[in-house]
Amino acid sequence: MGSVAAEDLVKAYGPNRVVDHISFKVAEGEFLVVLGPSGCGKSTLLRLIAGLDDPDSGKIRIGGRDVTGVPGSERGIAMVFQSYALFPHLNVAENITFGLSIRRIAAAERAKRLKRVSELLNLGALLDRKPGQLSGGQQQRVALGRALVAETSVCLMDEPLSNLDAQLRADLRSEIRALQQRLGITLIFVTHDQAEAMSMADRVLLLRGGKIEQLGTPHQLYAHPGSIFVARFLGSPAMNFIDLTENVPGFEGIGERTMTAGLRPEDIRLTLHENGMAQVEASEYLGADCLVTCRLGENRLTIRQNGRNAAQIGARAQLNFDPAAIHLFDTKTGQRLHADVRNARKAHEIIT
Amino acid sequence: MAGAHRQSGSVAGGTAPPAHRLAAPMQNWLMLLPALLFLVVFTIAPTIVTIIDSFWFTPHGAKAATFAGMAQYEALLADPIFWQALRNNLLYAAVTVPVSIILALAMALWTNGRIKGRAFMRLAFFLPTMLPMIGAANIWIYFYTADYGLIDQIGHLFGAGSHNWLGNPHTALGALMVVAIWKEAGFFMVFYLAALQQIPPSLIEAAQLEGANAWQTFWRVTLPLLMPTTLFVGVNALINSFRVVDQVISMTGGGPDNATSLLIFYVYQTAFSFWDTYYGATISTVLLLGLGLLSFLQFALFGRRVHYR
Repeated sequence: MGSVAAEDLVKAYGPNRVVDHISFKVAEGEFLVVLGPSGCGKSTLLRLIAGLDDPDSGKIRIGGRDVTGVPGSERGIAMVFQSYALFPHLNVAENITFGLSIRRIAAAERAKRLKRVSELLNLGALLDRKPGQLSGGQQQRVALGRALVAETSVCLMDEPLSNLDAQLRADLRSEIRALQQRLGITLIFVTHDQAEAMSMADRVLLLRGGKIEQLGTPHQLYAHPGSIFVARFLGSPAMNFIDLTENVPGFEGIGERTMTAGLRPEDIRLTLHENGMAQVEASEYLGADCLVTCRLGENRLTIRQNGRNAAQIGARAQLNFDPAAIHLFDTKTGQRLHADVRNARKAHEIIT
Repeated sequence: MAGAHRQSGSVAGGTAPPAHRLAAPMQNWLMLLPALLFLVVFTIAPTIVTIIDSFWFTPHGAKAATFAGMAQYEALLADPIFWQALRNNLLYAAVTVPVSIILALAMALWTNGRIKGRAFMRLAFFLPTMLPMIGAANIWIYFYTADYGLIDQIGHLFGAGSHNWLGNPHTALGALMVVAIWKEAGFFMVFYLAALQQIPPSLIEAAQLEGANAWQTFWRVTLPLLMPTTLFVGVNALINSFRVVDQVISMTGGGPDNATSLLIFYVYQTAFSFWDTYYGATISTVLLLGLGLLSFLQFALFGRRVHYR
C-alpha cells in the first residue's frame, strides 16, 4: 500500500536539470532520508513525489499505482513543509482538521481523529491557540499532527527540523523516528543535515547535482562510501584525505599514485613523541572528545581522541592507524576502489 | 546634599547641570512641534471652531452672529435637501464601496497570477487612480453626452435610444458611481496585490495537498488572510465616499434637482455659494459624528473577524 517508487525522473528548470534521471524504491514502512547539499535537487524530488510539480519525464508510483500527473491531494500522501505552512488564521484544532473538513469527513470522526492525534503529539492544551502563539517546536508538532490526522500511509517531510534550535531538533528527531515506527508509515524525509540522516534513516539517498550519488543504509554510506563526495559529506569532522601522488611519510606502499586515501578522524591514534613525523597544529576541545589537527608533510589530518588527552600545540606526535581503516578512491573520478587494491600491511601501522 | 543624591541616581549624569535634564521633555515637545502645529492649525482648531459655530446663526453684514442653541440642528432636521443629500450619499456609499472592493480583489487576484502582460494589466488598472478628478470627469462627461457620447454611440449601434445620462435625475447618481468605482478600484487593487504577495506559497500548496480546490482555497485561506487589507480598504473607501466633492462639482454641480448632491457638496454649496457658513458648520458636525460612529462600528464589528499577523 505505502511503497513509493520513482522511475527515471527528470525535472529541468531552463537548461538546469535539477532532477536528473533518478530511480529508486522505498518499501512500505521504510524511513528514507533524502540527503544532499543545498541545490542538489532534493526538495524538487520531494515536490515531484508530492505532486506539487510535474516531472518532465519519468514515472512515480505510490502503492504500486502510477500517480504521475495525478493531483497531490489524490495521491494518498501527507506532507510537512519546511516552514510548517500552518494557516495563521485558524487555531491548532482547525489546522489539524483542515483537510478532513475539506474532504467532508463527518464531525464525529473528525473529533475522534483530532483527539487521537493531539494525544499522540501532546497537543491537547494547545488546541485553541493560533499558530502565532506557539513556539517553533509546538508549531512543528501541529504540522506533524496535520500530516498524521489524514492517516495516509505515506508521509513526506521537507527539512521539517531546520528552523528549530539544536536541542529541540535532537528531541524531535527521535520522536519522529518513534512515531514512524509505531504507526508503520512510509516516510520520505528531506534534509541537508547528515546527523539527521544517520540517526533517523533506514536508508539514505544521497543526491549530488540532481543525480543519486549513493543509496544505502547509514552504516553502508559511512563505512563504505562509494565516492570521495559521500565520504566527505557523512561524518563530522569530515574524513581526512591524503593525495598519494606525493610521497607521504607512513603511506608508502599504500595504494598507487593515482589514488587518494581516506581515513576517518576516529581511526587514527595520536601519541606524543619527540621523534614523531607529525606536528600538532590545533586542538579543539569538545568535552568528551578533542579534535586535534596535525600536519604531516603537506597534509593536514584531523584526529578525534579522548577529551582528556589534550595535546600541546607545536608538539611532535606519532600517528597510528589500522591499514584496514583506509578507504581508497580514484583521485580523478572520486570513485571508491575495492579493498584488495590496498597493500596488505601489518596492523597498527606506525608513522614516525 | 542634592549633588550627592543626583550622583547616586545616575552614573553618566553626575557632572551634567540640572538644566540639561529638565530639557529632555522639552526636547520631545520641540520634536513634535512641527507636526503638532500643522495638526492644530489645519485639523484640530477648525474642527473645534466648526463645532462651536454650529450653535450660532451666520452673521450678515453689520449684524453680528447670534447664539442659536439647537435651532440650526432643528432646521437641519427639517431641511429636505439635507435628507436628499444624505440619502444620495448613503446609496453612493452602499454601491461604490462593496463594488470597488470586490473589483479590486478580482483584479488583484487576476494580475497576481501568471498571466501574459501582467505588468501592463496592473498599470492599466491603476491608471484611472493617477488621473486628476477634473481630467477623469471630462473624459466621462464626453462618454455620457447624449447622442454624441461614447456610450450612446455604442448604444445606437444596438438600436438603443438617446440618453442624457447626467441630465436625467434617475441616471445621474448612477453615472457618478460608475466613475467613482472606475477610479477607486485600481487604487485598492494595489493594496490587495501587496497583501497577496505576502501570503507564503506553501500555505496555498498545503491547502491543495489537503484536497482544497481553487474555490475552497480562496474562501478558506486566501480571503481570511486578506481580511486586514479588506478592513483597511473598506474604512478608506467608506470615508472617501463621504468626502466626494470634486467629482460632483466637475460633473453635475449637484443637479439635476439635487439628484447628485452629496453631503460634502451640500456643505460646500451652503457655506460658499449661499454663504450660510454657520449652517454649513452644522451639517459638517453631523457628518463628522456620523462618520466617526461608522468607522468605530466598522472596526468593532469587522475587526474581531480580522486576523492580524
